[in-house]
Amino acid sequence: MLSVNLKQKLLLSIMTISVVIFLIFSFLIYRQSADAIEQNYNNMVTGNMNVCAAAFDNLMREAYFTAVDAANDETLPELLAQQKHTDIEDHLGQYLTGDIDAVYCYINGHAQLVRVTRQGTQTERCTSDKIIWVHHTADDIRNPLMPVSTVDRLGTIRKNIFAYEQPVAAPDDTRILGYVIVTVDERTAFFKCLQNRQTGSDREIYITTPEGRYASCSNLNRLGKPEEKIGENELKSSIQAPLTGYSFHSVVNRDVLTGDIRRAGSRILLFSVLLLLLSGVSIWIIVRNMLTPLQQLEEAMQQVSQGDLTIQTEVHQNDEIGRLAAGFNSMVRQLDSLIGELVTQKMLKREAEMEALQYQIQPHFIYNTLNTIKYAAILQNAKEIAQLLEAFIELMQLTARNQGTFIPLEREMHMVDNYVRLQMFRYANSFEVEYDIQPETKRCYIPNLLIQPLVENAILHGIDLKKENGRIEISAMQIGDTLAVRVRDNGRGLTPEELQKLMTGQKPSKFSGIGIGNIRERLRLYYGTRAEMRFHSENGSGTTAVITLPVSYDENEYTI
Amino acid sequence: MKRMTAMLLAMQLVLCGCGTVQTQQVKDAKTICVVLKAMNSVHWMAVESGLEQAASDFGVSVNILYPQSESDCRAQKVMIADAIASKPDAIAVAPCDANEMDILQQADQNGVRAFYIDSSSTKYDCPYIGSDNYRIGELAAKKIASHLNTGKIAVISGSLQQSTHYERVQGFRDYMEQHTKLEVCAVQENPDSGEIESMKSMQRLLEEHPDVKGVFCTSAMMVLGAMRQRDREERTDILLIGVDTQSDALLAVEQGEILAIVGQDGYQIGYKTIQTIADALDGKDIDDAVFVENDLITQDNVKKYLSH
Repeated sequence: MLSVNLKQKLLLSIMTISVVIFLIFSFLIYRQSADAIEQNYNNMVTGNMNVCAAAFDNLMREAYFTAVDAANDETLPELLAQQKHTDIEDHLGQYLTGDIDAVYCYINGHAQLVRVTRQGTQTERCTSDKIIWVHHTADDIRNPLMPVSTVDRLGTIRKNIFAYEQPVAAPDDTRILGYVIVTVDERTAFFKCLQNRQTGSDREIYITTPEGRYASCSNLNRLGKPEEKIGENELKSSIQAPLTGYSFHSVVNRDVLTGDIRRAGSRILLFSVLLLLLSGVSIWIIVRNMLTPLQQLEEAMQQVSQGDLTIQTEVHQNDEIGRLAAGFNSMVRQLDSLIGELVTQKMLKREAEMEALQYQIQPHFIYNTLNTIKYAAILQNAKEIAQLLEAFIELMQLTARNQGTFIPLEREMHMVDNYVRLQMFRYANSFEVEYDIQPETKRCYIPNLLIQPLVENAILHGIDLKKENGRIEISAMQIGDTLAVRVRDNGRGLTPEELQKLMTGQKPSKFSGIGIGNIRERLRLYYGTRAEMRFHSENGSGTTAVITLPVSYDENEYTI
Repeated sequence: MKRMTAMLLAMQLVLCGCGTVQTQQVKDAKTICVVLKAMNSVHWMAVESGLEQAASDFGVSVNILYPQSESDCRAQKVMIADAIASKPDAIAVAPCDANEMDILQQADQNGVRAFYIDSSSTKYDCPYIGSDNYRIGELAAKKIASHLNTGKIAVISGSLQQSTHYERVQGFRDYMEQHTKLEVCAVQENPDSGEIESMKSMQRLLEEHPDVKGVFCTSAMMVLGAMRQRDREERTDILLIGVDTQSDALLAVEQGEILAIVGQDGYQIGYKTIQTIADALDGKDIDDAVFVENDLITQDNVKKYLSH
């Protein structure tokens, strides 16, 4: 099969269907018209031939009547018995009327034939074999009303005739005295009944005997021969003359009848082919216009599949295809922005993790050194220093061990505790820290280093380290699905400007290097709108930081 | 592709239908042969016209044969034999000679149904279509009796071998004998029912019976001949009455020269004959005698008959 596109298929099928429908219609109409014309012609010809047949019947009836009258003439038997030839000739002369061509009288027993013709009258001897011709007309099986169509063997000219024969009986009906034969020339019948009906050379009328031989026709050579079969393309109408039983035939070439509509048919065909071509071209143009946007859309799709998400296709009209194109455009736009967002998130997370990893630098060296120092302190009985070192080591180990992004709250609090102890030592216990951790929250997973920066911020910026009454409260509780972590100090508080700076500023924690802004950013990345961090502060009455985030017991639930 | 092939095949079929050669044969019409007495009077022409009209109305084919004159009984006999030999479906005969109708036996042998038209015969029994000829004679007698009370009445008849004339004469005679005091003094027979012969008959009649008061002629041609002879002999007192609805006779009635004509519509006879035979050939039951109407046409109502 040829590879064809949609446009060509549409075009081809529409053209094919049109052509087929048109062809079928044309043929049906042609057949109908041709049939109707032939039917009408046939009716006309049949009527015409009925007139011919009536004329022929009348002509033959006249001959028949003449034969019957002559044979039953009262004086003829007497004359025949007396053998008065001249009287017979004179007597029979009265029957040579109208269209009668000849009257013959054969006298039985004497082998004499009296011929009364238009050319003259004469009596001659006649051999009996000639009379065989007469006698086959007297055949019982024959219809006596039907003339014999034959060659005139009794006349001087061997022409074709129609003949009736009647026996002449003796007055007492005891024996046959002779026969009367009345003939009509075939040409008389032809010119009287057929000639004026032959219209032109395209049509032929002829008469056949009931046995199917030519009895009268324009071609004299055919007379007496069996009727020829008509040609393939000829139309024949036939009727039978009622009295004589002869058949009348009219043969015409179909081309003569249906030539006109055939010519009209070919003109229509030509017009339709032109129309088809025209419609084909217009359909092609329409289809092409219809399919142009689809093609553009297809190209755009290909570009998108190759990764170009900035492509936008042209929207031509507000039809189905136009809406399809518009939908495609907005889809590509959304895809582009979604992918952009995804990439940004991945990159930000990578950065955050990298920051967190910075604290794992050479941990073993630091632990080993610190442990050595710790044991030195124990040997020198400096117990407090040993304790401090242990807290510090633990803090470092915790930080270093936290490979994962999410850790249980418990561990974060442990780390915060170590950090707080170191700072309390550093600031000579000038503040105190109070923990209020609900037991059920301890196993909740939270992003690591989430609380430590807040505590560091409270120690360094919240409480007044020069006074003795600094106090920090750290609490964690579960409210429904939400985990709330609060860090509150009783320091001088923050001005709105300072708060703003704290929220957006990139100022890193001195311990972990993670700033408040970073916490906020990580919350947004991991939890979206489900987590938030708020600060509440009034000058002179401390600062409260609250983080709310969804409860999760699965380390990887919010892992990106 | 398959569908295309199927479509092409279907088109091929449509095309093939064009190629058949049509020849129309004449429908198989029934043939009826009618042998009349002659064609030498208006009556027979009217009969022929009725036959042909009915033939075209009932879709049958009719062949009409007749001898030169009503007296050519031999010729008619030959024609009847020939007509039967031509094997039509039916034959209808108006016998010239009622005594010669033995020949219709041949119809039986050839399987041809026979009928009588216009006249019948007792020699062969078959249905008859025509006038009630006995009643025609009665009608004529009644009309003359209404004008004459006593005296001599004569008849000029066609061949008494023909049942038509015989029955008309019979009906006339019987009525006269049974209902009137009029005397039928003579019946002149005139074999060919012709006008000239009728004049001679009238002449003879007037020689033999100069006191005759009325003459009934059994055909229109004969009443016209009788009228001419009467006028020639200036005997206009003689009342004449004839048979057959024929325009020249009707004109004579209108002018008062003929007392009356008993109408016999030849067209109706011809038409009813074909109608009856067509019915019979279709297998319907028909009556043994189908009569046409016979009106008495006088000066009072003659206009109606002249107008159509």
